[in-house]
Amino acid sequence: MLANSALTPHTYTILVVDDDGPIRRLMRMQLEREGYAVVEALSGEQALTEFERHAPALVLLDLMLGGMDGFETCQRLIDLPNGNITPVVVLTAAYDLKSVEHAFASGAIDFVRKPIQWMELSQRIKRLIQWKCAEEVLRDRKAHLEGLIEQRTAELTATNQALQQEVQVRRLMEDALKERIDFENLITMISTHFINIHPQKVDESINEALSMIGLFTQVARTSIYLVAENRSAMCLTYEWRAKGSAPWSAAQHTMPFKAFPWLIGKLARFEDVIIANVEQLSPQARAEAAFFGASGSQTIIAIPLVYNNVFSGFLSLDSGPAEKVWPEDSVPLLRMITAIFANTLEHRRTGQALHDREQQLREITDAMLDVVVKTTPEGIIDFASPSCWAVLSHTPESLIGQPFFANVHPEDAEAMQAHIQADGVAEYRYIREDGSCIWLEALSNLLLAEDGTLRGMVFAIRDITQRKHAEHELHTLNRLKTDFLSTAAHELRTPLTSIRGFSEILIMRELEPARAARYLRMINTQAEQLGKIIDDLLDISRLEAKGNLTLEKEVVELLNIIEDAVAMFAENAPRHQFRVEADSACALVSADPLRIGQVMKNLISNAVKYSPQGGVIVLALTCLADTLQVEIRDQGIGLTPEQQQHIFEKFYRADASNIAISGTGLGLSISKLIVDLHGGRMWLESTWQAGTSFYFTLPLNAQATGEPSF
Amino acid sequence: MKTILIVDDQPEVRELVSVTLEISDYRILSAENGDQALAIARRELPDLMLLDIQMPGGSVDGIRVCQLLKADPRTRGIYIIMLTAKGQDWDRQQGIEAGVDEYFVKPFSPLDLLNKVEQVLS
Repeated sequence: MLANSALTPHTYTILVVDDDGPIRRLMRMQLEREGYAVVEALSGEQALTEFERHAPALVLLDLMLGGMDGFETCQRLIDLPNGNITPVVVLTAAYDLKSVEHAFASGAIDFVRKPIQWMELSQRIKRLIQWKCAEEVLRDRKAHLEGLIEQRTAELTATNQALQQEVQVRRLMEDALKERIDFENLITMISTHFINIHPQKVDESINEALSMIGLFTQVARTSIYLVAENRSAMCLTYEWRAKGSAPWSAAQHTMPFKAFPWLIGKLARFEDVIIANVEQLSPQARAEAAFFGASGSQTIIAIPLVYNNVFSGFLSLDSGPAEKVWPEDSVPLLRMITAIFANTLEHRRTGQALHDREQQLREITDAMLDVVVKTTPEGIIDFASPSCWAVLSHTPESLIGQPFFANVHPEDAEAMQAHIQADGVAEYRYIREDGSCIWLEALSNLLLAEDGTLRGMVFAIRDITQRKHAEHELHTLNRLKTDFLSTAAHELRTPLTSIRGFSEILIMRELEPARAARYLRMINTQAEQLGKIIDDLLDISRLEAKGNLTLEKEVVELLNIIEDAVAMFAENAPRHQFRVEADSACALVSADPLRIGQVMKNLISNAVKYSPQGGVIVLALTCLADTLQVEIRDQGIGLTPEQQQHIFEKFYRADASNIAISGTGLGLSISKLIVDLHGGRMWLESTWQAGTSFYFTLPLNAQATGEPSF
Repeated sequence: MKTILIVDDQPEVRELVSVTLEISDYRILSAENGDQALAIARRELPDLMLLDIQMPGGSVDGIRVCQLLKADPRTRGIYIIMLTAKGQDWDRQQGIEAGVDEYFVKPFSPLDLLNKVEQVLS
């Protein structure tokens, strides 16, 4: 069926290759009769050409050709396209087996001997063409099949690729999911770590967290910038960087707000900033691009630290030179951890502030000279500042648990409690651990709970012993001053009495001249006395204000001054005898003769006053190593030890109230001040009821001693 | 004739008072310290005393003299005028407590004193 269908519609072409013309014609005739088309070729070369041109169904090839012989021609035909399925039948003249073998080796498929048996040839041609057709069909089928296979293979490959892609996508998704879960776990772990974190561990823990996040997200740097205290810049506070990543440069440690309006503006509005590629930042963000570009960063995420609606810094993750694509869901996680950082830092800050306050208060109470004591509502001490050791000589420990009023002087306890309750302040004496007594001032303050109940009391206690002493001294001084004024007034009134009284009498009455003259003299004398008292008062006031009195020193012979003074008194003290005892040689001193004379007169006057019954008054001049000593000795009433103690104090008069010896009480004070001004010393020795010796010294003037100097 | 005792340590003052009173007809006695004053007062029982407070040379001052005389029924009736340089309120208070009848502060006007004495003794 195949043969028929193959044969019927086609006229098969047969290529006849023979250099013998008659045989070619004969074969054409014969073959055309059988319905084949015939193409002739005279040589091997022509055969190759014709074969290519006509694609014959079969080739009849004479082996005996001139030029290219039959074998070569056969071989070359076989090599042509379709050559291998086109049967080549060789014609051989003789029954030459060797040639036939050679022809088969050259690719011939059959042979026909000359002279040609046409029946045989016809059959062979028919069969060979059928074979060829079958071969062609087979070849087509095979090609078709191969095409199919190829197509299916391609389809399979494509499907396979698609599948692989899908697998890849799935794997990526799985990876992403796994990464997300891992990241979530990491964030959870870090968050857990930050719960109840100790303030001292915050820095360490944040650094650790930054490193974990950095390692996990495979960035170059994770950093936290915090808003500086003056709120004008951001400061790099925490930083982690991957191995091999460059650190932020020193210039990158601070980001002034003004310099980065774009970034900080966004962050301060609590916006996350995701910079996918620094180089593609808008021109508004030129500063930021330069900033991050300087450290070779490409992709940056910055998440604001916000606590209680206050922007306090930002967390940045920075990819380094490689661009990084961030999974969408990592930003919320980063936001979460950022919130935890913000929280933690804020808590530490407020905690630190509290701690600082407490520390400050403690330092203040520690350094205070005042003592701060806190008590329970019942008045039991539960806090005492360390200064209680210096002030009260009690350690804080020994005071705690004791009643606040425990060591108050028994005489003051009641009044002190009453004052504290009434005025919140009291001054009282306190018995120290060592038994000594000090004056304290306590200010109290009630500590009230929010509901108004008493929570305790705070006392600020101050040592006012010195103040009390000063107050006492001031009080004494004031009393002395009052005494002085009344004494001075008294002393002034006495001469004034005579002056006023006698002058009035002289005015009112007519007296005989002798009496009138006598009263005028008395007025005159008393006026003189008045003048003396006023001089004394001025003296003491000038001597008190040291420096207002200048000594007019000259080299004087002290003995002369003594003798002059004695001469003055000898007249007016008839009951006393004066004796001057002087060391010979060394009576020259440098002194103000008027002032020293004043001292002498004061001392002699005292000696007279205080020996009212009379007696000997001795004036002894002694030369010591470098001083000249003067002694004025009387046999008077003497001084008690108490009086001796106060005798040189200003305004003091030995028993002024009872032993009515008049005077200003300033003579000795003036004398002692004058001697002091000369660089000398004054003192006394006295026996009650037996007499008193006043001494004073003056420094010897080496050049004034009269000794030769070289 | 009324008797007046002048007590003052200062002779000038005794003389001043004597001169002041001499124009009237009084018997004038004088003492120069507290002890003398007490002795004369008890012996002579004067009608009036002019008494200084601060007087050296005796064991008692004018205040004490006044106290003692006012405490004694025999001498209680003596009219005592303090004549003193101690012119402060505190001093006056002391005098009043001691029982003085009048307090004159030095320096005084002789005419005032004379008027006072005449008024007391008339």
